[in-house]
Amino acid sequence: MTKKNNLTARDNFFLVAAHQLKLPLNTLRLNLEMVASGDLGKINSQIKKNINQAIKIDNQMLELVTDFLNAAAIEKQERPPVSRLDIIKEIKNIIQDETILAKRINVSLKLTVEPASLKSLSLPVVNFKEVIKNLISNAIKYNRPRGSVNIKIKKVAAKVFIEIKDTGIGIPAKDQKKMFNKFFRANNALKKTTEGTGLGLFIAKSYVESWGGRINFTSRENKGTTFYIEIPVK
Amino acid sequence: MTKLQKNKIKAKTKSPSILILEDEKYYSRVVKLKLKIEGYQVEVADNVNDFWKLLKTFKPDLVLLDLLLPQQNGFEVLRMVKKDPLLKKTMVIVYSSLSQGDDRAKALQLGAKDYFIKSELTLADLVAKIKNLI
Repeated sequence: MTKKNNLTARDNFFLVAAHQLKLPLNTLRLNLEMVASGDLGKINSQIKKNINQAIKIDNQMLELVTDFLNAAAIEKQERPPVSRLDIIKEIKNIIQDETILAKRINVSLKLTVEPASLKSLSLPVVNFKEVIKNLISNAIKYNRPRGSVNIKIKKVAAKVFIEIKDTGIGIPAKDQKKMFNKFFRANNALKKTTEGTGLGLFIAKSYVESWGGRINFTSRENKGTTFYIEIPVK
Repeated sequence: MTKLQKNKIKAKTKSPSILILEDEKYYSRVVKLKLKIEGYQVEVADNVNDFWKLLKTFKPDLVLLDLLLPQQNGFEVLRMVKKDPLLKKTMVIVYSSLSQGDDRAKALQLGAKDYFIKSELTLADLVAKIKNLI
């Protein structure tokens, strides 16, 4: 078996398989959406509930496949192109998207920007969105009912700091060193939900470091976790 | 009368037309059905040759263009549409199944009106994007 860009033939097989899975999963979701929306005829509330459940599961599978593809791109050392992006606008859009999940489990989301005149950054937009979406979504998923997620953005000298603070289950001290390892999931997170690949934080760290930045966290079990991202302004 | 039947009648009068260039038939089928229900006239080309024929005969108001095509790159197709004096005013929305960093910027720079990633968009989102344009 020959190695190419750190990827073995077996890795490449899984990569192709992941790509091939994405399309049918997406088309399946669209078909389910048509049934759920009533476009094809009236459906009763129980059918609607089950179809919506199937859409949710399909979306989870799509997220898993996306995680696998992103992790593989990191292994291949792919460098996505960089563009100017308004990070506040991007973060606001992500918060908007995550509101549905937050409302469902009764978690409040708050964004604080200081100062308001923050400049745009040169970053790979898809990767930036992936990191922020991952951290905000984790902060919601591993939170408690009536908990909160506070997102702060500030610029100090030539650096942008993004802080994502939750009131969730926290990360046990013994697991904290392994949190950025590929496929690692903390014990209490596994107990809360079996969903998740353990790739999200590995992907986040790889991306942030490729921008010349840093990512870290502080956490207390049953109190909450705060993630800190530091990105140099270029 | 169902919404689809009502819209079929509406489509016979004058409703905006959409041409989809997509080689993945299950995807194009569900998108076509949704757009027809929304009242649009819709045609699908599953290859570039049919696409060029339909562009000239069907004369769509809007094109949904897949970037990943077996015979030709979607960007190349977009470039050719925008070069043709008779076709250049046709609005184009480009989409892809891969989220590659500069695809959006490149598509907009080449004259596309919008861009999306297949797996990130619901049918309702797609209809909203189209309603913004036609």
